Amino acid sequence: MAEEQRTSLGELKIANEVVGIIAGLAATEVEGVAGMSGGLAGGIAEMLGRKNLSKGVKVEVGEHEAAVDLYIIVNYGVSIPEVASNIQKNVKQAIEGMTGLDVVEVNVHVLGVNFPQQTVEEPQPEPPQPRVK
Amino acid sequence: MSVLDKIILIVVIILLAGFSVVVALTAFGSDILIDWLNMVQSTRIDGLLLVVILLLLVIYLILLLLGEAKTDQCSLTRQAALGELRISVNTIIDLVAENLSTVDGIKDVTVTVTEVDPLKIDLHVKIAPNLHVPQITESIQMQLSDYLRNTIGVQPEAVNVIVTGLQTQQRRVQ
Repeated sequence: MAEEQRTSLGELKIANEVVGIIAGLAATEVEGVAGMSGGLAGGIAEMLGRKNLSKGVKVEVGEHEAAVDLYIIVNYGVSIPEVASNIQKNVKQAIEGMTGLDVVEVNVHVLGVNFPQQTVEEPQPEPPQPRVK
Repeated sequence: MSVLDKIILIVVIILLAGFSVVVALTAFGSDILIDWLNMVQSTRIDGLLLVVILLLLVIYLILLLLGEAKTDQCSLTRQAALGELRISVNTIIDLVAENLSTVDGIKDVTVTVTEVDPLKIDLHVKIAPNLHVPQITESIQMQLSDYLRNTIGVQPEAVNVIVTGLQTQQRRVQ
């Protein structure tokens, strides 16, 4: 399935994959998003070294409209509704700006939380006093 | 991805790698694969093994699909301006557990989400012996309510604290 548009000089087709990549990149650049969640198949592809830019993105593209589902993992400590609304705005803007499609729906699915790696600071033992001066 | 998934993934990758090596050897004139296939035909034991492996694979796939369908249902759905916002139960559990790990005097917290809409949470905790139980449970409930309202935008309708026992070991760090 690809989006198709007739212009005076020919037709313009935008593949679903392209819309997916745009949506994925727009979503990951939002602050508070740790990454996209691609499921098992995505995990296998990633282990084999394929970088999938539209990981965790599902798009439906019609003639003039598009709907996007995003599967994300958020960072710990952020306000999820706020992040979600930023994602929705950013993704809508990116897709509409680049493809001219009307984005009717951006559904955000939060599948997990990413906790920052805790660096345990061990108290440094004081250097022993030298016995001789 | 759970640990089980990772283990199975690694096993599958190793098997695939081994198989491709055998196939490559066959291409260069080795008879290993052909011999093995002949043996399978003659003994039937390896054939049985294959059937068992396939059966296990099918069971695993069914479990996987069921699990996926289950996690898909188990999410808190809210209507946002431009579409839906779905927060999975796992996310909520992780957030609650992390938030409670900062509370002094409770330990071994097990979080269960009993109902999603309205949100109801059960907490099984162990408590320090010298604490006033109603006080600490109330403060946990207040803290969680506030925290969830701020992070996921939903105030839980019920936070049930179930004290399962005493925290016996004293913390060393003051």
